[in-house]
Amino acid sequence: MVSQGKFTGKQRRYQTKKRVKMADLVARVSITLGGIGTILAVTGVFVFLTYVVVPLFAAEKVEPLLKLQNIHSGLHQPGNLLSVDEHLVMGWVAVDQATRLRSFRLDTGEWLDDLELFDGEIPLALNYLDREQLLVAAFADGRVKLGSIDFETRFLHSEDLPAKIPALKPGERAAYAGGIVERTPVGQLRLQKLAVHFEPAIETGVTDIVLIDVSRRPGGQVVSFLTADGALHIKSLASRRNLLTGEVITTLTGGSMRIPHLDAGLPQYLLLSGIADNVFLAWEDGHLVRVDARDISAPVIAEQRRLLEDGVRLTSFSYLIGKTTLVTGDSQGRVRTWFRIKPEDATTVDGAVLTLTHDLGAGPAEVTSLAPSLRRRVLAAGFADGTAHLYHVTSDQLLAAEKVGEGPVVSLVLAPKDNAFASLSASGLALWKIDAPHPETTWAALFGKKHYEGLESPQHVWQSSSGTDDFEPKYGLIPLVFGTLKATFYSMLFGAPLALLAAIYTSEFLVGPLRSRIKPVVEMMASLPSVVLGFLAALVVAPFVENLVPNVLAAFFTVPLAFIGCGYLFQMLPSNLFVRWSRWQFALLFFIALPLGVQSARVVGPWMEILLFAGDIKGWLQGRIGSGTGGWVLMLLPLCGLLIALVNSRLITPRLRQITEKHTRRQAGLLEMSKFALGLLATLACAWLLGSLLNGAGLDSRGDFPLIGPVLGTYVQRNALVVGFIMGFAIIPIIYTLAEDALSSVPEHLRSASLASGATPWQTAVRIIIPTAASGLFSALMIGLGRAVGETMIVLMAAGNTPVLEWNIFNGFRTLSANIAVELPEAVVWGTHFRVLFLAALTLFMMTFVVNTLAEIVRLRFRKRAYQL
Amino acid sequence: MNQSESSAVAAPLAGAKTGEKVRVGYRSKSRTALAAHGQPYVWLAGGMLAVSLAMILGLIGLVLYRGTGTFWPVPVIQVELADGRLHLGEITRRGSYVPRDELIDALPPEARQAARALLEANEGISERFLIRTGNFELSHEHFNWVSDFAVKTTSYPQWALLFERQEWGRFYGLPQAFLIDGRPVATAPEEVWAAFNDHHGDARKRWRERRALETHAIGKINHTLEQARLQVRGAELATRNAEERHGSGSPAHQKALMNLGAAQAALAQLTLEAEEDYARLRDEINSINAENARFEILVSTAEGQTKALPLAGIVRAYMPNQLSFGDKLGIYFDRWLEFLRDDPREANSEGGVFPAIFGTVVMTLIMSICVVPFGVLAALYLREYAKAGPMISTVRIAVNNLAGVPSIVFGVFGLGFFCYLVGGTIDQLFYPAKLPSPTFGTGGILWASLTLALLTLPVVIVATEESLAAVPSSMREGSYACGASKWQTIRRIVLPRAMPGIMTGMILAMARGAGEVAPLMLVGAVKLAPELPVDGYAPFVHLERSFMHLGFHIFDLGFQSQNSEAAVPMVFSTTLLLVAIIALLNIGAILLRNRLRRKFMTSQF
Repeated sequence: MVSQGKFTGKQRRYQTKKRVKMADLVARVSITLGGIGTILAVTGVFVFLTYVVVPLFAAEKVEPLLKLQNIHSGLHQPGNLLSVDEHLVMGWVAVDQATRLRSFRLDTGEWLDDLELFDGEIPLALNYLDREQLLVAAFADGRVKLGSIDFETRFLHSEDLPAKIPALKPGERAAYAGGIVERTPVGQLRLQKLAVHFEPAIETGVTDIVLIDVSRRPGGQVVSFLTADGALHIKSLASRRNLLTGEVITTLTGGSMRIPHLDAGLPQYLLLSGIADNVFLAWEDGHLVRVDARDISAPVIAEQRRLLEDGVRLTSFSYLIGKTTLVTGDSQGRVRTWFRIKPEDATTVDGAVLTLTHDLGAGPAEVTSLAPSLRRRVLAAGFADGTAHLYHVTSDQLLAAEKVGEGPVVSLVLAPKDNAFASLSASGLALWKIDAPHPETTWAALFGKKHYEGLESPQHVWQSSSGTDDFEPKYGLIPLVFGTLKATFYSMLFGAPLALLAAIYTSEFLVGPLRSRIKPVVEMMASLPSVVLGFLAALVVAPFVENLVPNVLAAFFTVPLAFIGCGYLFQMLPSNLFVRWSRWQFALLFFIALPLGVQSARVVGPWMEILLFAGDIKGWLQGRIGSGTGGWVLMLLPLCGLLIALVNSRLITPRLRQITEKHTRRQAGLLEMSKFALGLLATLACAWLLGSLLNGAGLDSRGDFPLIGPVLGTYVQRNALVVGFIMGFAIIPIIYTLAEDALSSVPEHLRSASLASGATPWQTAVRIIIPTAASGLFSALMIGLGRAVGETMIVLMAAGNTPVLEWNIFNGFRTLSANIAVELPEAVVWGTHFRVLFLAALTLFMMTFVVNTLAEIVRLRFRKRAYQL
Repeated sequence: MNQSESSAVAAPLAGAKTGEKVRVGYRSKSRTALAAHGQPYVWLAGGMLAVSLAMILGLIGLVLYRGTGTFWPVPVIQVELADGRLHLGEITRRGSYVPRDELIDALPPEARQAARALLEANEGISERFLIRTGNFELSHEHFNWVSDFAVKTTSYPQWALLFERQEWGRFYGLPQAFLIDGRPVATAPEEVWAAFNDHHGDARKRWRERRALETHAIGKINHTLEQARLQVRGAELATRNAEERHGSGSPAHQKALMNLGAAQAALAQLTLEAEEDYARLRDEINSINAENARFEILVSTAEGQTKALPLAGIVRAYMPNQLSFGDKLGIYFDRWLEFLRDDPREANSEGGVFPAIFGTVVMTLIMSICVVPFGVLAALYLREYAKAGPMISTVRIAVNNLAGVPSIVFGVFGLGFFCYLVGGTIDQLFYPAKLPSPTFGTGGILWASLTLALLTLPVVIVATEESLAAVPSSMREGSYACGASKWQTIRRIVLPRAMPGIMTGMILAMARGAGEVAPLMLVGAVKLAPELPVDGYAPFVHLERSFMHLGFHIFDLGFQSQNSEAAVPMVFSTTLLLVAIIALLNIGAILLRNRLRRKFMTSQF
């Protein structure tokens, strides 16, 4: 505001006050900051969701923690007789043919303790179970000893300790009394020490045991051992305490059998499955014998097969967590997993077949050791050239490959928390840190088929939790995405035509004061909480529909037909009455046509059930009774209707028009009416004919179709029909409102011009208004679609929430949104499940955002065009 | 649509052909063909509107009917079954089904014939009704289905009594005696009833006194003790920090140790005092209990078992078969009042929903306080300050779209960001003494409100922007011409005129917020929260507390209730309440908009 010379010659007297200027500045800055901040905050939603999801896809890393050259072993073969504790403070190795355990510090390698296990005896067979921390050994005289190996923890008190111990600072460690003492962050002194406890020896009564394994079954422990003469024994252990002497007597009950394939020598490996229902014997040449031990007193051979190609040696054989999946490592360095599946055509005694399920690829050299994780389906494999690989089995991933030592990796172990692994080789012990919080999640794993344990083939599965510890969570998002699409599809199928037609009628044909009253009523529906709709769907609509399935199905046909039929009847009225009563059109619709449609559904429904579904629709849907024709007729009716209408409009109507022009209005009406009735009959006949044809061709409408799966199937109370109905109802207001807006914003002069040129209101609507407003209508539909995709409460309450992959309208489903609502409160914070649910939310966000953006762009373009008209 | 389109195409052609062939004058007489009116299709379209409308009206009608019917007292029926069992209770529901043969065979032989005949007459379909028989502690059932063929006689006992109790649900029985100190003082039904009415009010008054003592007085002591304990824990943490940072024995450490000692001493002192207070209160409560235990009413069930009900545990009792219309109306409104004012009982299936109403209202208020300023700021920026261009229209589209992002996504964001990230950080910084139990690090009313604020932000932004755009630019220009600055123009000219739109946006946001449930399930709505977010203990407003919400109450009651038969009527009443609140807010928005619009109409150029 530089003052210039004024024409009055005076300087300007008034200046804008400082305060006003200041206020202006402050307002500008704060509004700009606040505005941009608010908008950023909103985008923050997207950023934060991504931030939580990203670690799922981060690459797994391993880093060397330390190398201890002094730790070797004169090692026992086979088996991983090496262990580390869960705090990564200490570990132990078995030495001297596994007769002694030596514990050592993991930070310095200092030896801590040396435990003699068997008082100088040397076991003939020995096995150690990582997860149960259970050692089992068999001796020449037939005794078997079971013992547990623990890192015992206790807390020390400061008195009577050597001075250096109480002086430890938090986090520091010192060796003490054969163990290691650490000052915890809370200030306590924690002593960890290796401890071995043996149970009293068990007399087996057989000698020369060469292989032994033990497992736990609901009734107690089961032990299985092989003697040098080729007899396999499977025994369950029962302990009884003598009340007088206090002595514990363990008895063995069970059976034994001769094993085959002895001409190739004795097997090298014996493994007992998780619930001891199978025994696996494997030879070095790759031969495997599976013994069915469900009846423990009479084991039988279930299956014999070769696991490897000729000339390849089996060099490692182990289990994954749960002891159901077998892992083999061979002389070519390949690591593969196997488990039993139950195909329908199995010929084995237990109906199961051992199948190769994951081939984890070839390593650099012969596999020398395998180490399964104690908590996940992660597997470490050591090779003869000193390399170690880390795999995630279910997703077929190689997580890491590192050179961990010189010479063969003779022993390998994963730390109990999966945060490290230790390996033994000629160059000593190497400890590596593993940073793999979410190894199971990759794009392929989340959105592709995976071969989970126990399934016959790779499948999409969502199952995030279960009762047991060794359960593997299955995070396949496809069933949830499918559920979301299914819910959206069926609700749009119901809601979209209803809302669009209602909007067209309101904007083009509704007359009088009703028009301004009806719209707010429908709009008010939009603010009805979806929890109310969901509750009504589940507790009122679902039981109602369940009782009256045929009537409800019939209503989908009879109600629209009743409206059309009434329209035909109405146009047969003489002109003067027609014009006079047109004012009451909506009242007639509401009070006569609608009840008529509903009533005829009640009449038609039972007939339909008898004619199409053998009198019992639920039995029919389960496939117990009737033929497939009924379902075909139902599905083909709309198609045939369209076909007949097409034939009618292309061929019949043009011919009839010439005739009707000569007739009176009443006659023309009659002709139209009879045309409609005939068309209806033709539709029915056509559907019936086609249906019978299809059924005759051997296609059952209840069957599994290629690509889409079953469409009609077993009836479940909370199903897609109910959800489609109520959710369609929920999206009607939004589609209706937007569509009505789009239609009414078509400029009035277009309408007037059309009517003035002699077009009827119907012709105007169909040929002028709807094409002009088409993009607006499309955007209304898209926004309705977006709403349906994200709707939570209705599907949560009324959809049954089973994550199945089928279009069956009478079955439930589980959507992304309902799944989040159900599972997120229980997920471990920042865990894999938690992050996968965030990914589900992000997926939902992206789906709706894309749909809505599209709709918005179309809408804006339409609006611009409508203004130009 | 196909047919009409092609017929319309065909019409002129046909006309032209006939014109050539037939008479010349025909054209002038040409009428519009009947099919061109598309009457059946118009009717189909109209029919869809009729269906939509019928569904809306049906839904509202259903909610109104079932919601208002919940509390109406119905007569108590006594049913004698063919096998000799007796049921006394209220009929809640009727239905029909096809009974299996075993059911008929299970009847005593003499009744079988009649049952078969009855079924025969009804084509094998049997009517049945659900009787609410209550008396859960005796029968272990709340409800019983009774089929019409199994009924021998029905009657409406004149003196049948219905008790709504504090615990165990309803009790249906016949009065036997009124007991004081275990001795019957009245045995004739009318005398028992009179005695009951004499003493019930006092017993309930004492019961309320006792509850006040338990919740307020004892709650206060517990609260003080808890605070003192937290002080001690905080002092401990401070001591350890001081030791680590400054070393053992440093002045800071010494001081922290002193504080710790003081806090411990205070706690010990408080504990001593609390012991005394406890003892005194316990005596008081015991004396009230003893007084209340004196009064009991002895009732017998239909099957003849007797049970003495202490008066203090009875919320309401009446004789359903002797009620006049006025009495019924009284009970009806009394029950509504209880529903609106009281805490829930019996796993939420009885009593009131006051905490849920309170939670909904408080949450909605906090949400509006958060959302309106920011929404208006953003809209002002977008409409008045930002330079129009592709950037701003992109932002506008994005903001519009956020209104369509599923609410559950905001819930997920709220849980991760507000509860765990922000809340967890707040806990570590300000409430370390309470860890590991979270204070702000879990769902609570503040986080729920903020989540919903984010959810409704687009509604407010869009509404405000539209109302800002509706202020004619001539007014702005006029203001500038008079020498006003931009801010002055906005404040004095633009904002007042945009006020109706802003208010509408706010109320619409409130309506949406009050009805949302999905995100709340994640960020703090719970089944039962006896502690309201506002109470008498400093700092009086406890934003970290979880809360009850009407919408979540509907979900929980309808789907996770053990006694779902009894819960469903309550769900309908709660639904009615929620729908009414939201409808009121919406209507309020419309009325306010109209009023403000009228106010400014005159002042517009």
